Amino acid sequence: MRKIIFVLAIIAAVSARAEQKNVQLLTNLSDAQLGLVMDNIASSLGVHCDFCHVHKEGTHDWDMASDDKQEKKTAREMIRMVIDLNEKSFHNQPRVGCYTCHLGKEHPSPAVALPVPPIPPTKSHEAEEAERKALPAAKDILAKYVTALGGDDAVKKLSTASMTAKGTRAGAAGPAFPVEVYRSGGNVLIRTTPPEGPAMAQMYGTEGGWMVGRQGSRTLNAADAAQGLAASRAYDPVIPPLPDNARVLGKATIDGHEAWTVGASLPDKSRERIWFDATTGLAIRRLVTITSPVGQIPTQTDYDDYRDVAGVKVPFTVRVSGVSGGGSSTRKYTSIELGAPVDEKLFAAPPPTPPPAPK
Amino acid sequence: MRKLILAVAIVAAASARGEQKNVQLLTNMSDLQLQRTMNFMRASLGVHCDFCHVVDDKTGWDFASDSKPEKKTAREMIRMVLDINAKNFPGRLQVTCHTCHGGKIHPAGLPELPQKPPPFPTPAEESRKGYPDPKDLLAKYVAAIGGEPALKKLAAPTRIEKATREVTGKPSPIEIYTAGDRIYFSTVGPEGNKVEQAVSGDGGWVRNKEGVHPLRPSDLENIRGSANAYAPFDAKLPDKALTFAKEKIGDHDTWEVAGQLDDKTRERLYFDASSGLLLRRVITRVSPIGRIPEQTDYDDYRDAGGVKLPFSVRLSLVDPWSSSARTYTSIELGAPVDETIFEMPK
Repeated sequence: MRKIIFVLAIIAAVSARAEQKNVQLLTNLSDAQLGLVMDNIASSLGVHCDFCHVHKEGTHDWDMASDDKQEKKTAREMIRMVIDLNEKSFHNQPRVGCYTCHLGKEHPSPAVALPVPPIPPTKSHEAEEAERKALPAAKDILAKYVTALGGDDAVKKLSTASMTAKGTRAGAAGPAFPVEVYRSGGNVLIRTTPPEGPAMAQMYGTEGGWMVGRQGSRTLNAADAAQGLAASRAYDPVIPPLPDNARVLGKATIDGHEAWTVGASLPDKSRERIWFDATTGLAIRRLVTITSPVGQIPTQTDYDDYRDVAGVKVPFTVRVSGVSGGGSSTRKYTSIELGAPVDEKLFAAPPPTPPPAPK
Repeated sequence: MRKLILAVAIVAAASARGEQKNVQLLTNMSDLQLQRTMNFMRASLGVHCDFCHVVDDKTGWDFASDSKPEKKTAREMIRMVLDINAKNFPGRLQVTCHTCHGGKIHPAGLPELPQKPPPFPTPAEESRKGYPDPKDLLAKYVAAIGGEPALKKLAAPTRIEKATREVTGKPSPIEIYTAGDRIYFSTVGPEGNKVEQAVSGDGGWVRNKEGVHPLRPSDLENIRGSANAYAPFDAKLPDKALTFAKEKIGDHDTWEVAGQLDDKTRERLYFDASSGLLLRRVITRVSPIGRIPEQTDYDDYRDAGGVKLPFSVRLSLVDPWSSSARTYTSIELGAPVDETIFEMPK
């Protein structure tokens, strides 16, 4: 029961956002952006929406616009403080966000924990510079990745060939259920079959799309489809090339694997960091961050279980983690086909749901 | 070699502080307060003094120099913290260096992924109703150390303690004679030589291989501070004492009692929920950039002439070079102390 309320709350939240009532500081954001910023605030404090927003217990009624809760008033003061702080102390660079102090907790911890750990010797600027110079070049890391994928032809196949992928999808909580992904031309179709309720589908094309959900089907305009497509790309493998500004930031250990960290700024002002396994050369994690008025918002993709598909190495386990529960899930593919034709009829819009009968 | 430089650096640091040159924002502080505040910043970033301050193998430390960009940034950050608290949290030290830095040079910018789904609905904060009254916790403590007769013995003005003292991993024997506010220490220096120190009223002296010298005000402050931190708990609750939380210390469940000693000093006491004994005391003092903690941990309670006292005591400060631990071999409460040992030798 609780789970259902939770899911419905998210849907209610989404529709409330579409109205954007009583938004005072986080203005000029699309609904999706505002939703993400809200999720980022919630995850920075480790709380649910009802920490600030009024919710009638046991129902699906949310009053997102209400300022009744003291916590919401405090949140607004804190947003103002963060905006001020970045403007005054960090030349408008988004250096400080909610997470910087809260670190996932309601109450930040201003106290130094005792006893203090031993103090490492300070590295000299020369030593740091020497370490930076000793790092490999990003182009060499990328070249190794291309080789590991199967060469330039493999990269081309990965980015342009039609694709049919089948497997299961599991959210942060709850059971795994079937997922199918079809790609052909500029169209992407994702079909899921949750254990409870009807099958769901989203189709994102270059000129629009459609979706089928609990409330029936509806069409998406080009902007909505583009947004959906962008979100679905979090599940895509890392596809070369990387931007010219990519550089190696250092070495890290990801789930026991030594990896090179490569960072780059993307044309849309977001940033990405990719970790390439130092041994196999394959990408094992990608982190994309976008800037918001109250901090950087991350989306992380973890890649595992690379297998050969027609001469291309493709990750069969892809885990996407974001600040919103809805945007986080793990896909485990059981079959992936590259280059096989996809039935174009799949991308055609389903018949629209008739409007509900008047009561 | 590096170790020697560091040791010399610390001594140099102490005397440089005595001069307090080019201090622009953290003014009106005693040497010890300034030193602790510096160490609070240092611990908040997990760095050594040389992260901001200039040090040279030959000429030593130049604390006044502003030539490192890190020092300039530190000053901007101090100003920022003062501003944030003044504007957003009137009268409270809500934001400190540690709030963002959390022991690291670069504060964490991003929520850690993947994250656990938050609880829903948001649980109400745990009510303190049903928590034991601080007075009852104190009464249980008093009973655990031996009751009213033990309290009387604790109130005796004289005390002789013998212990092994450990500072930065090096053990040395120490003897401490206390009579009222007069204290005499005798220990063995790093080169095997005997070092004696005594404080009495506003003055004090030290006798080491270089002879006898009066103590500097910063040393006096330091010695008094650490003597207070090591003194047996006086079985008094702070003002406005409140049982604040349940906390785990090691394997022990404890009740945390919080209150204030004066308007700038707060005390937290952690009483073992089962034995009633005091396991930890944390005193925090206001500084412009945050409350600076001093923690004393108590262990190995044994009988010392009818009073149960901790024979293992660890003092943790933001300054690791002054943090230390004592393992007592004997504690004599009310033992006669020869008054002449406090007098400065001629």
